[in-house]
Amino acid sequence: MDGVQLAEQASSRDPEIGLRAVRALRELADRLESLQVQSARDAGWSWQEIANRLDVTRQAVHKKHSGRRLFGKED
Amino acid sequence: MLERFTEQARAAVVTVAQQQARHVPSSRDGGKPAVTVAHLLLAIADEETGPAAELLHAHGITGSAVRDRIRADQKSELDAEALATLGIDLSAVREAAEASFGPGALEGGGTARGRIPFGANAKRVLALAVRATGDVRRNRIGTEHVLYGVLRARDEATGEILAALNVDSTRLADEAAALVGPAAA
Repeated sequence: MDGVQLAEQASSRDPEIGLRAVRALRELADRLESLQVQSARDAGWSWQEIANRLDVTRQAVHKKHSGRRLFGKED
Repeated sequence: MLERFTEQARAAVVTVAQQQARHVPSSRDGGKPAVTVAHLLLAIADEETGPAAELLHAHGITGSAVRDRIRADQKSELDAEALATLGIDLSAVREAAEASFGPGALEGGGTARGRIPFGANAKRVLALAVRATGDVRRNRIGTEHVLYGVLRARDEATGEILAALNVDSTRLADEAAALVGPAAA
């Protein structure tokens, strides 16, 4: 096995690549969460119902997602 | 506070910056839709007349140039390459999101409704603009004061946009300070 192959095989254990992937995944998950929470609110879901599905507290989901309506009609 | 702005400044700050935040989201402000300093810069650069817009245009800072930079910056935040190492095809995810929620959904543009709040730095810009106006009972706050605030706020994303456009920020800031007059000194 030559050096290049070794480097390729080892690359998935490279923290540089692995951590960057985790960060990218988190950003993507955050965006999808925003989309879905907003959509659920528009459909009339309560913060509690949304929180149950996301397995977080009502306070956590409200704090994270209600800010976008800071100047709009907030509940 | 907004009644102290000139009509033009109020339109730029409230209406245009809000629209820009919706159409060209920049998620530098904690990931939620927010009016950022870059949106304020964009709103001023988009104007055709007025001392602030003319100063920006003289430095090569046009609305479309700023818009492109904000978009480029935004794209880099969702790391397609890193997601690919996990077997996730970002363009497929984006397509699915847009099919359900409309164009730009994943970029926060699809669902932002109502008034978009000002980010922390954008609020600082407005405070700087008010201060630069001096006696606000006599002087209205114009787009030149907002521009002065934009350049004084030391906003990272805005600095990067100006650098990418090869702008001499120091000179621009000096010229903007000259526009607002002695109250800024």
